[in-house]
Amino acid sequence: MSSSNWHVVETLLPDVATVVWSAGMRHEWGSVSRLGSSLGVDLLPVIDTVRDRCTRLDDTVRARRGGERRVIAAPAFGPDGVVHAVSIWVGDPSADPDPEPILGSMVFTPETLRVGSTEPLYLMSAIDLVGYAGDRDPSRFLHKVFGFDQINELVETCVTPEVRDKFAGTLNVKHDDGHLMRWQGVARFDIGEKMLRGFAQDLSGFEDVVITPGDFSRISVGNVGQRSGTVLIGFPVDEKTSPVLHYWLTTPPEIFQTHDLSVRLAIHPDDISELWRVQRVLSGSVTVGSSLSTTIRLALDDQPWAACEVVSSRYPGEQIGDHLLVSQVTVINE
Amino acid sequence: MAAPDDWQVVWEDNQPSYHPVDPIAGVDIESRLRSLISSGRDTMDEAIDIDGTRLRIHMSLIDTPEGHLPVGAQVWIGSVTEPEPTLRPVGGCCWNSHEMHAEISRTFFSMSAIDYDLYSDVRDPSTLTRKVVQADEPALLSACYSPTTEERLSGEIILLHDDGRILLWRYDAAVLPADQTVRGFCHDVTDHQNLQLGHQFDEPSAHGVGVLTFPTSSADPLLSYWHGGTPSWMPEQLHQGLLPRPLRIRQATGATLLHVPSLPSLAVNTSPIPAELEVGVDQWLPISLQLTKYPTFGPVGRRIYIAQIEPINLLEAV
Repeated sequence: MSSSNWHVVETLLPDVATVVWSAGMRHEWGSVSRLGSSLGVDLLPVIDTVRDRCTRLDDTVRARRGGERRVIAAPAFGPDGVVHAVSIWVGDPSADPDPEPILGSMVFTPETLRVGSTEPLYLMSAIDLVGYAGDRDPSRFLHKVFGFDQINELVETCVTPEVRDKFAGTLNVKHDDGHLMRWQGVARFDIGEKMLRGFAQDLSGFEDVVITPGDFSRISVGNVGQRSGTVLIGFPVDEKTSPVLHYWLTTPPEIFQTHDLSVRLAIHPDDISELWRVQRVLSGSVTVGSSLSTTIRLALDDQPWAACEVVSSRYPGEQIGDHLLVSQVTVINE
Repeated sequence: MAAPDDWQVVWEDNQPSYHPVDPIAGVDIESRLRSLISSGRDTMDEAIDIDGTRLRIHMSLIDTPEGHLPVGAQVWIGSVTEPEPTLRPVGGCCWNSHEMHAEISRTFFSMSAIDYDLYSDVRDPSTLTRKVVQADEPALLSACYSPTTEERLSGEIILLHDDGRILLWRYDAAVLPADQTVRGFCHDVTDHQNLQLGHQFDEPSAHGVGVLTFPTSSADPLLSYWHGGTPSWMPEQLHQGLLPRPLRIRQATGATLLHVPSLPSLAVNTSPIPAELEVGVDQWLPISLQLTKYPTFGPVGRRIYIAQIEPINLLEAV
């Protein structure tokens, strides 16, 4: 997995700033001054400036040990107008910064049980802003989430902040285009304002989807062998473009094994509609494990198509299973 | 029911019963069905039984979605001295495998709806089953995906009415490969058949384990089902399974019971919520409720929960 010279600092409560992601890794409530000293730049004044002025900052400063450093600080605003997080890049003025971290902010008000979310947060899992609503109930807000073991800790932070006042955890999210993502969620409860402030960060490229033992136990992976394997298939919300065979729950069939994880299996263009028919019928299924079998052709990159028997069932979960299938793939004809 | 040869009795004397359409008490049913279908209108006529009794025969087509061929009929035969029958709740539904959608009749819709104005005939699969809690579905699913073999299918469906009641329906369908359809009807048999939720509940405790359901309106949730029988602290007769009359539950002042359906389903496992259970006319028993999600798919999961219930103060309850 990649690294990055960006760092993410949460600023969810007034006068609080801690590092939650640095150099491609998650951190829990790390010290900003320690990060500043390792980068040779005093970061606290930078963060204060961004918070006060509510603007992005891109400056060349004198480093502690001499020489010049370029400092970029990008705020992520919450729906409440407060800066929830600041992404920071520090580097050589002549260097090109890495791609900026992808963040989106939200607030939750226990009194109304409503979630306020921002456009950047919506766009982290959507193709465009069609369907965006800044105000949702919690169930709708999390409807693309599958696999979120720590959800009860998050709920506890919302409901009993006197017991647990902050939250940091990871979750799996399906993008509207069908691909699967790993996010981190960070939140703190503001007792004075009686609201939870938080943000999510897309960790794709740094961390892969994780199916926890709890979720795994509810999935039937069937037979595994040289010719068989079980994969998660994400369906785009446009209901027509190619579904994405994203994540193997088992070893893939031998002919689909590759060292390059960025290579995805392609579905033969003439078979895409067949897989959509399976999805459509299963979206009406109410029974755990109900499955449908179909034959489609799959291929890695420029290799020849292989006919496969694909037996699919809904991913266990209330709404996500409409657009996420667990499919056992058996190669029948290479 | 394409031709008389295909006709079949599926329900008789308040229970499922599968056999060909034979004359009943000497009355020719088949020819009457033929004229019912050709006229499209309910018929009511009389005949004389072998023993001389005057019989009344009432026939009514099961309501189908607009423009569809008949899928079945209700037949009532009784003495003229018996009171007029009321029709059973039966509604037609046709799945079209080309279009990948179902069409439902008005009756089919109204069998689980509060607001009949929300009726629309075309349903995609997820909308069609959005109130369903459990169903005998594997054969039905594969027939809908690929109706290649001519066959009859039947089974049970447990679903939630918009008003919060748990219902038991029987379905009878015919798979017709020639026109790529699965056609049939659903019959609400809650009043005659035993409803058994398939979920493996934890062993019942002194608490009382039941099923709590929310109406789609903002009306009070209902306790509809006791798993393992009515707990001993309830001032009513022992009852297992579906309650003949669901009991209303109202939340205590300031409690969060009515918020539960809007919580993310991943998280539902509430701490005890104070509430009151209606145990008689204007008699409310203070209880404590702990809810967990009932394992099902789709939006119905927001409206059905497994409830652990205990009385808050036993002295008050007596």
